[in-house]
Parts: sequence; structure tokens; C-alpha cells
Amino acid sequence: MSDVPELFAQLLRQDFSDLEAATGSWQKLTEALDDARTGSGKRVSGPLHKAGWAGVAAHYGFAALEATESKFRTAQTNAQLIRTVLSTLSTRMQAAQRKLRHAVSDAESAGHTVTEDGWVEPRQAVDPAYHNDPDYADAQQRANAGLGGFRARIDAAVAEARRVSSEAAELLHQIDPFDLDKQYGGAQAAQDAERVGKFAGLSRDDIPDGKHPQRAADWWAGLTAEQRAFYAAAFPDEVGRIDGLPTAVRDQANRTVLDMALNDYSLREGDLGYHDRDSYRSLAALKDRLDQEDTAPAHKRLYLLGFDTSKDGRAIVAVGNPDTARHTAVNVPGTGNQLNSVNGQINRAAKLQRAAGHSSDGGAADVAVVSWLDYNAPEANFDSVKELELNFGIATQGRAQDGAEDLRDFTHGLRAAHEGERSHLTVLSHSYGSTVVGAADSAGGGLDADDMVVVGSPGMAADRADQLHIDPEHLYVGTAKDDWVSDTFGDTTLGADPKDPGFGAQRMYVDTGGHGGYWDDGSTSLENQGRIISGLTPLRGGSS
Amino acid sequence: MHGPLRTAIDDIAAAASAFRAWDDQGRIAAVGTGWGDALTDLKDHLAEHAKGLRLLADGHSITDTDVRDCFEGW
Repeated sequence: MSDVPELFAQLLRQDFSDLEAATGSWQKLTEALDDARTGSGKRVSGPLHKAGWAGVAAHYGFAALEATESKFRTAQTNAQLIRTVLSTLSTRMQAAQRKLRHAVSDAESAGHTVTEDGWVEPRQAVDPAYHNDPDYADAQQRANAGLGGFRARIDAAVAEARRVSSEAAELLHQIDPFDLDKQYGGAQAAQDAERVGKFAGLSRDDIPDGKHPQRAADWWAGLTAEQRAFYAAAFPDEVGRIDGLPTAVRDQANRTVLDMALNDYSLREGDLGYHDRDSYRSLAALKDRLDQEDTAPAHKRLYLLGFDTSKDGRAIVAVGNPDTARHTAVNVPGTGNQLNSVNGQINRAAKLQRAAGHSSDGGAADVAVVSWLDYNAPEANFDSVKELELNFGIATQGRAQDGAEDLRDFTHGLRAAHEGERSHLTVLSHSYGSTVVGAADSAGGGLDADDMVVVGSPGMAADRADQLHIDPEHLYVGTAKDDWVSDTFGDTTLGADPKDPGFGAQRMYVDTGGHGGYWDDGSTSLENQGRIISGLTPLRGGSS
Repeated sequence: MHGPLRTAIDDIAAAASAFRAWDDQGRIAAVGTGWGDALTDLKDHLAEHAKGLRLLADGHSITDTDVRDCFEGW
């Protein structure tokens, strides 16, 4: 007899159309919550940030808007988890139903009767009048050889359905609407996600490690839309950092993680140490900047491709979407850059995009520029020789070598994620950033860049241009006449001086001064970097 | 958002009814009531925010207290 006779008939005839309808409508609800959140950013908080709204009302208004948008993000995650539970419940219950129906059908085909409560009756193969016949027992046994198997299959199918429905019900109970709270909700949703993932057979362990961008891109492309939505909602910290995944996906995942980090700091605000207070301020400033540009034209939108608060902090932010741009540039800054200076680097990226737009057929809409600060930049102040504070980091290639593999993975990830025809990729770098670029391009598969620009370089961790993967004809070195960093540090511990003709690179004309003037408005230095980004050669003298 | 929320609440109530035999504690039905209420509250708060911002935008003489009241509870 089946363990749960009453459920046998239920499973045999169970109609799943209501459950499937609910799965579909909760998916639509997830999308509506996402639209509401992004709409609030585009139509409400974004324009208010951009307009510089300030004062008492602004303080309360922005706090409430941030809380609302954070709650919508939590709600979206939870709705996605509920949808995944309902979908998995439907799939696994239907699988159990198929097994049950097959078992019943097979039993009946073998001549058995299956009763209303799931019991498989023995087959009467021989007239019972012959029960004294010595062959009777053998004949009966042969006729009912499969009996135990059919009963076991029926019991197993019903037990599976019962187990799955019980697990699903418990999971739904744990996804608690009272977690829809600004400060706790995101973290709680992440915990619920691990449990739901286990139920649905989707694990954090399935997610690629990020060391092979093309494999990561292929993995993502092979997922269903529902699976992608689940991984992004459940494991945003993993999804946001993987090179090779689409930019928009990484951006949304990283903004979720940023939200959770800010909520965590807010909870502990009274107990934060010096480093955490600095990180809190830096992340809050980053979020404000991202929010401000939510209403920008598509090519000026910002995409958060990574951030980290360890040590001095790091951030990778794109101006425009590199997945669709015809020309993509990656700008690697030099010493003294850290998380709290990312706004300045975003401004520089925007400036390079505008400069490239002047030279590109499609204008700035064709161009995306990424500010890549994902290495531990040495701390040094180069405003003048007098103010120079050296630390060991600037004198050695250690930090450059440490960051090299991550930069390679990043540029290879841009290639893997790009849609359509191969884009034109330029890697630009300044000061110690050029040492990182040289270290990255001289090893592994190089950076896979089409053009490279280094300005104010103290060395590229190489003796000659042909030791790098970039074609020396496409490596441009720009150095101001009075850039004392290049003059002081070239040919010392960071590699040969790349402006030296013997290095084998091309010289890029610059008309700016000092170590930090290469992006001055109206300068040929800036114009030339823009030209190279858009696939042209630099001007040899003043503007044409 | 009202339409998708209403449909999601109605559909999960129907699924809960169809699955009553498997979910004797009514957990599926509780999703519709619990999350339905929570998400309806969240949606309604947007209307309050809009009211607060309209107060600011329409140029009437208002106090900061009036605006703060529109964002109360957060």
C-alpha cells in the first residue's frame, strides 16, 4: 500500500495550469518591480540629484527615495526567488507525476489492477481452483515478478511529490515580506537565495571563477532567461565581478552589492573605524554620481563594473556601454588614485569620450570609455618635486605585476561580451598605470588591444616595444617637455624609457605641460588621445 | 505596477487552491497575502513621495515640515 494513499489520486490527476500561471505572473511582477525602481531613478531621484536639490526637504526627500529604491531592489530579488520556487515546484511535481503515470501504465500493461488508492493488485495467472497443483505457486510467482517494483515506483513518485511540495512550502514561508526593510532586506534576500538555489539546482558553485572570460560569456549565453535572472538576483556579488558577462548585467549586480554595502555601513555608523568611515563616504559619493547620470543620454550612462573597499579601494566605471560601442577605451590611472578619487577618473573618462566623439563618424555615441582602477595604485604625491612623497610602491614593479592579470582578464572580458562586429579597443594609461599596462601586455595573451597610449610614463616594465603584444606601430607615447616624472623615473626600476627612440614606440605630439596636463581642455594632447581612441592617427603638430 | 501586482496575487491564490492537498499549512496562499500587502504598501508610498515632490515643485508657500510629513515612516 502506498505510504500516502490519498495523495496518489491527487498526483495522478493534478492540474498544474494554475501553478504555471502564477509562475508567469510572478516573473512579470519581478519585471514591473525593476521598472518601478529604475523609473524612480530616471524620473525622480536622478533629475533631483542632477539639479543639485539641497536643503532640509532634500535631505528627507533623498533619504526616502533611496529607501524606496532599495526596497524595490529587495522586493525584486524576493519576487524572483518566489518565482523560482514556484517554477521548480511545478517542474519537479510534473516529473513526479510522469513517473507515477508511467508506473501505473506499466503495471496495467503487465496485467495488474491499480486501485483508486494506488495499490497494485497481484495478478491471478492461474485459476485458484488449482491452488493444490504443485506448479501453481511457481506460475503465480512468475506472473507477479514485477509486482514489488511497480509498487515501489508508485510509492517513490508520491513520496517525491510530497518532499518537493514540502520543501517549496517551507522556502516560501522563509521568504518573509517583513524582510522588506531598507537596512536588512538585501542581506536577508541573499541568504534566502542560497536556499532557493539549492532547491532549484542552481548553485553559486556553477558560476565561473572569472579567470576565463570567454568561458564565462559562453556560460551566460547558455542559460535560460529565468536562470540568468535567478543568478543575478541571488548572487550579485559573483555576477558583478565576472569578466565576460554583459555590462548591463554586471552593472545591475554591482549596484545591488553597493546598496547592500551602504546599508551595512549605515547600520554600523556609530562604530565605524577610520578605514570604514572613509569607505562609507567614498561609496556614498560613488552612488550619488551613478544616480546623477541615470537620466543621461544612453552613451553617457555610467556602468559600475566593479568596486572594492579593501586597502585604498578600487572601482571600475564605464561611461557608455562597451558591449555596443564601436570604439572602446580603457583608461588606467597612475599613482595616488583610489576609491575616493573615482569621481575625478569618471570625469576624465567622460572627457576622453567627448574628445573621441569629435573624431568618430557616429560621434560620442560610438564610444565607451572605461576608467579601470582595479589594482593597488602606489600612494605618491607628484604635484611637485618639493611635495614628492615616495613610497616603496612607486619604485618597484610589484604592484604593476600584481594587477597585470586582472587587467588582461578585463580587456579579454570586454572582447567576449561585445555584441556584433569586433570593436576597436584602445588601452590608455598614465604614469604608474602605464607600468601596469606594460606588465599586462607583455605576458599571457597580452591585452588584445588595437591601439595603446601611454602618457607621462616612467616605464612599461619592458625594455622594448616589441616585447609587448601591441604592434609597436600602434603604441603611442606622449610626454610633456617638463614631465619630470618621466624624466626622473624613465630607465630606472620600472623599465626602459618608452619615449626613447630605441624603445621602438611611436611618439604622440603633446602640447600640455607637467605630469598632469594631458587632458587639458582644448589641448592637442587631449585631441590626439581622442583621435587614437576613434581609430585615427594622432596629429603631428597643432590642431588641423 | 498595479496590474502585474494584482495578477500575481490572484494567480498565486488560484495556485494555492489547486495545491491545497500538498500544502496543508497554506504557505503558498500566505505568499499572496503577505507579499501582496507588503508590495501594495511599497507601491502606495510612491504616491506619497510624488505628493511631497509636487508640493516642492508647484511653488506654493509650504514648510519643510509639510514636506517631511510626506516622507514619514522611512
